[in-house]
Amino acid sequence: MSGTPGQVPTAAPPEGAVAPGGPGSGRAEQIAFVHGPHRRRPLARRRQKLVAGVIVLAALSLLVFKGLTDAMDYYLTANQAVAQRATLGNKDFRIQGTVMDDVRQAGTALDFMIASHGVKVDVVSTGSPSALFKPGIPVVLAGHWQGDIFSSYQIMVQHGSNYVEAPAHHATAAGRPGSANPAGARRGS
Amino acid sequence: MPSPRIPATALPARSTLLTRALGLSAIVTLGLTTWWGLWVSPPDVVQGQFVRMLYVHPAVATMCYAGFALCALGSLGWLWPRLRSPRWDRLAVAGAEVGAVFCLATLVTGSIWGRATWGVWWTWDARLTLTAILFALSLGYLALRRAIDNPHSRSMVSSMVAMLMVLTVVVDHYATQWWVTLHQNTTLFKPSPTIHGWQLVTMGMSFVAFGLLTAWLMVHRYRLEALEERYDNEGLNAALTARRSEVTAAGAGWGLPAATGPRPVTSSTSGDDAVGRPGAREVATR
Repeated sequence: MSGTPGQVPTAAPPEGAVAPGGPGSGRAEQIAFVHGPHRRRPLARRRQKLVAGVIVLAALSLLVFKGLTDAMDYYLTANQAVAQRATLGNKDFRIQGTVMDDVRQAGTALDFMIASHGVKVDVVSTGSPSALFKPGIPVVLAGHWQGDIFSSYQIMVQHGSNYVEAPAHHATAAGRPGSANPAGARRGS
Repeated sequence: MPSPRIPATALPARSTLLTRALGLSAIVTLGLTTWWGLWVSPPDVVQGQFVRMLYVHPAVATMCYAGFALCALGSLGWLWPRLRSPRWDRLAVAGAEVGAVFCLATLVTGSIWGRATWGVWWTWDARLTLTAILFALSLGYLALRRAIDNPHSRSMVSSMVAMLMVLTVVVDHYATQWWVTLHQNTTLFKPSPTIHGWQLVTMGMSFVAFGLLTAWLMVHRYRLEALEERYDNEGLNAALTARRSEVTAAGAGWGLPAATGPRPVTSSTSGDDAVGRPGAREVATR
């Protein structure tokens, strides 16, 4: 290895020879000491990182595919869903509307109505809503048509970008399930 | 033989008065945000106590965008032939790392807030999906930087990815306006912010606090990159000197002819030999 043109000369010891200073005092330790942690990686490590990069790209592709097919038409408003009921059939989709006043517990399910642009839809949902769920708040429901009723398995409460400080006496009530809707302070987004 | 170790005094100091002031300001403003956010600011009429996430999540998300914007700025500076300099590349990698950290924090805090208010940890709406894509892109960017040893190729390829990331940032920002989403629209950055009183003040303070934290992280990450480059270069020179001296000594010890004089390094040796590393080779042939 030594003497190769253009290479840093290395002194290969004759067979059986021991480096001056004895074993353990040689070049490797010195070089490691000189360099310490180094950013460059051996080939195997670089290959591992390339594999990691490929995995990240694959995950990215999955995200893009899933995202593009699902996210752009995230929900239909209640009036749109009613208008498209025939074409939607039993297919799962998301519907959006504001919860009407009468919310009833029917066994493990919730029975209520949502409205959007003057169109009302009956909903039966087995989903468990967040603490903000109450009449007057906009919701997005995942499920499908079952006749004239929307059968939902997931309730997502939608909140807008308006924020209003609660009066002192209201502080502990706000956010509790079933607490009174504060006088139309919330708008749908 | 005496070690050719780089003297510690040759490396820049760990911090300066300015960076210490920056760090201290970040700590103070983060403390103020915590105090006002948890104890002074009242609950929201609809979100109740959950509104306190408002003092973390939007600021963190904005710093994520800022990090990737700085990464794109650094990449553009590097791509521009007249401006090309390692400084731009350092800015790019610092921005990407800081952006990635804040992007992860955005996903985590958003998920917690989403579970509390929406009722779900995650949903595939446009804003959330694009933020996840942005995080995956940032991981890809950082993986690429680790995988490519040639500095020029590394900077070139990662600059392309940086452009893709900043494009995603723009689309992500406007996602709530362009498509129907579960995620709410912007609160602060519009002509008439729909937030007032202590909520507005605390939210503003959170932006100041996380902005200072981002600046502090950027400065130190930039400095770390510069230090690593310097360490590579100076460490290599020291190693070359050490090996030549060692070969001379070893040759004498074994009765072999000693190598004399410096020789250019044009091909690598095997194993963990520092001199044979691609990055080291490039430095040696400069």
